[in-house]
Amino acid sequence: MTDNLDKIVDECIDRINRGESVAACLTDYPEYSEELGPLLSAILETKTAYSFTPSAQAKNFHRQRFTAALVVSRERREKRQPIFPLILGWSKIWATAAAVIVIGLLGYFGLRPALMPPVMIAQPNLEGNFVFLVSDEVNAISDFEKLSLSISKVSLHLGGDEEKKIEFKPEVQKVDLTDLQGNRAQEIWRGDVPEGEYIKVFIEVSQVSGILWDSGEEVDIKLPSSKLQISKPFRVGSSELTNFVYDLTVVKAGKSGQYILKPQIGQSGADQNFIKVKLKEQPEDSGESKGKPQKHGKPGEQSEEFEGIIIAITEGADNASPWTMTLEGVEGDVTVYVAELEGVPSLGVEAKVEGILTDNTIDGAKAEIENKE
Amino acid sequence: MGAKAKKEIDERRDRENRLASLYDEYFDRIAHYIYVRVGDRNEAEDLSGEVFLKALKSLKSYKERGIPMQAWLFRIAHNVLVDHLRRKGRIATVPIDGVTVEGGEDPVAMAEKSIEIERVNEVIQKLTPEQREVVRLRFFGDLSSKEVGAILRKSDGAVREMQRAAVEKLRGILTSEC
Repeated sequence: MTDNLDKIVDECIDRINRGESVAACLTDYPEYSEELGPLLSAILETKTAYSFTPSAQAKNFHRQRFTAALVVSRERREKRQPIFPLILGWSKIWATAAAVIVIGLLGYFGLRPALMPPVMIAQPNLEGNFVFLVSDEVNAISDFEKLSLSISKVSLHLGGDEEKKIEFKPEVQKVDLTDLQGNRAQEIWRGDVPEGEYIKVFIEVSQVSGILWDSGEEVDIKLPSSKLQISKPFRVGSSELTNFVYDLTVVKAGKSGQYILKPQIGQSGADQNFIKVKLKEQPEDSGESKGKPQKHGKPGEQSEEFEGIIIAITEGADNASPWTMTLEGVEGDVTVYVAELEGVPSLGVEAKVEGILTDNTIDGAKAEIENKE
Repeated sequence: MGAKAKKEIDERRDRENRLASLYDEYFDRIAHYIYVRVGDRNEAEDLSGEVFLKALKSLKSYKERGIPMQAWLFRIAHNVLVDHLRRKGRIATVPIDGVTVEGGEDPVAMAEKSIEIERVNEVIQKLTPEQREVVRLRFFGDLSSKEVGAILRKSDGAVREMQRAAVEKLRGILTSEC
């Protein structure tokens, strides 16, 4: 019975993957519908949440790179082994067939010019022709005493025949949006960018956090992505100053009540009225604990959570630490001394580890074995 | 040139052609599989491109009688992904379908969707690592359980059992959270 249901679930996943409906599968197995229905709904919900199709532009770009690598690889091989003269001598048909394959591949995949625009890094200049400012449209910002945001990179997409991407790193990377409500805007970069018609602006947000007025509590603010895009054309001239205001706003989502930070296209652009506020960059971490509660370490050190595989355990006792682990995002092996443990560790299992990483060692870690079923 | 060398060249060319023929269908599947982990459209697309380039470089090591080439591609995708996550560290972004924010989009609907994705993501994190991988390969890579078995070095039956247990757990958590 169980084995049979396993097979039916398996078949239904294949059918859902091919685009068939849950109902079609249930119709074919009415005797299992009560048990099968909720399972297939869970599968569909999981699949639907992550629907994703890569863009045709990116797919073509990478296809072109792949085809070029394929051609280069074949050319190199043929140079190393002088097969062609021999083959030509042996049979012209062979050479024709080889040429047809290469031409066919090129025709099929299309060896087109690069579809991804070239990138140019813009330099800051106090006398430059372009100013980039950040502002905040008033929505839920009044809930916050402080809402700090770090912008690590800005990209401007130049349109027209010669599409180009102009990138710069803001000179002021950290801003507090509570200072930038309404028409107030803060300049974060000024420099030279090429003249032309621009079509899109991206900002890359590396960090965002907020402190609520009412409770003084630090809350998570969600981003749709680490890269936020606005498509609003504007023109930059070489001899005139263009001020581009990138407006962000924080909204409170209805169902979940979570705060979301998003670009506000209506208040963004090179045609916005604004009041420039005095440049103010927030100091780097002052040493006060602002993140997750600190469980270990000195003031100012931030406890972090890591995930990785246990590759060695101190000899003698399975539960003993230190463990040697490979952790995601950390180069080299890490020695972990465990203070609190949940689950039974063994070689090769995944574990979550919380603590302070210093010189590839985590002392006094809180550890949780993931596959402890 | 000897017959053996010629045979090797023919085989290599044949593998290259097969790999090229998989590009159109499997680029999307691999990008989807990667996207679920990295949560960023551009990164998922770039890493998928890298998977095909790595596969081309490693074609010599591909064994005809081993696993199907499409399953082998996913093994490479897994390695590329792990390397990427190690390099990048754990950066928390909310995976969302379509990271762009255009003028016509409803921000609240977009926000709600991102929260829904995060909810499902949290549920997936409650599965065991093997169950998670089965879910990613079956649901997002659209691979058959036989292909998943070849990647994870498990029998079809073992994959079906793991997948059933994973789906039961997903259902249980999703239902209880509603």
